[in-house]
Amino acid sequence: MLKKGFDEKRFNAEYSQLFPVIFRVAYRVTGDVGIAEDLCHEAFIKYYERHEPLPDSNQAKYWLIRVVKNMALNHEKRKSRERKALSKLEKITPQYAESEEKRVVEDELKSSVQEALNKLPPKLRMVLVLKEYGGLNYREIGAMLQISEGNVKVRVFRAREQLEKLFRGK
Amino acid sequence: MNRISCPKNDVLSAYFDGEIGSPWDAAIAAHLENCASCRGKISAWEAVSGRLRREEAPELEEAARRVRQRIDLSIEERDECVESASVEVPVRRSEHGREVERLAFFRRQVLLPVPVLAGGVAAMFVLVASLFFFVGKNGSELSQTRAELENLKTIHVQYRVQNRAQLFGVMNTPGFEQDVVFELPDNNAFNVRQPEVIYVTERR
Ligand SMILES: [Zn+2]
Repeated sequence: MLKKGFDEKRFNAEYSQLFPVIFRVAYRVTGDVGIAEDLCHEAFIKYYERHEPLPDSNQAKYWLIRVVKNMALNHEKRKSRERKALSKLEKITPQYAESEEKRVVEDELKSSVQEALNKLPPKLRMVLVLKEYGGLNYREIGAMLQISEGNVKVRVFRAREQLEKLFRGK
Repeated sequence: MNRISCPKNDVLSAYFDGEIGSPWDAAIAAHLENCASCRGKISAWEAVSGRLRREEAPELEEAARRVRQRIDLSIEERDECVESASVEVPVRRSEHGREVERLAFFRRQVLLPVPVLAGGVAAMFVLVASLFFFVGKNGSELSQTRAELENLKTIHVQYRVQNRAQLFGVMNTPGFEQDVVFELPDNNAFNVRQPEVIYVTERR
């Protein structure tokens, strides 16, 4: 059952058009499929709950990316707290502690692209992901992150430079 | 006519992104014709961009399907709730100012009451063992919602967890009480292949 006045057809069309973009951004920022799915889920639910749909898909895209970006930043903060909590619990139940070996294997499964992105400082990664995967221009990125366009320009350049080195190092 | 000198790297990078307006873009284009060094930088960035874009995010199609399913479930669940629970149940703002709308867990709850921590390692064992079915999906947003229902004189704090790491995280939240109700998804609950969201409800 759907909300009154909700245009399901339109939502479906926007979903299939925008999900890939939103998911790529979420995944490239967080480096984790599960988290990316959660962020996309919440973002689209929030979009659904908006009273007014946005006039065009470009604005919808911008809106969704902004939501995902905010949640990704919050997630980042929480992650460090959870990590502490987990290590505390693993001391109580050592038999379930994730082995170092398993972690290494998981890391190896990550692609070299994602691995390199993960190595970028978060501020540079965010800007480059918004540019390359979100397809946003400098002005949009600046507005979203509340930094100047000049700052966006410098960060994009630095991110590129660092990535190039990381790729070359392979 | 002198050749213009090499543009700064960040300007060149902005040019590469189509962010340089007229007439500067034409000047840079002209410069590039005569400067192998700047052309080299641009082709290196092209390679970086190409590599980023060529590699698709993993599981894109599956993710699109899974998330769509979850959206439908959330919408259904919420709409049912709004229907059955409206008026009598005051929906309050949480401490963080977030409105709590999802109250479905009041109707389908209590699957596995476990005294956490109080029972020590034994209880933990049960907990961890049962949760092992859900490991595999790594991390998710821990959404903490808090519904305060005055007419029931109870406070429920709902945590959404998808794996044990998150559960542990929740249990380590300062002030977390010792009785926990696990709420498993009522659609084919213990499906090992497809980890579902579990709700942990703290009851006070
Ligand atoms: Zn030059």
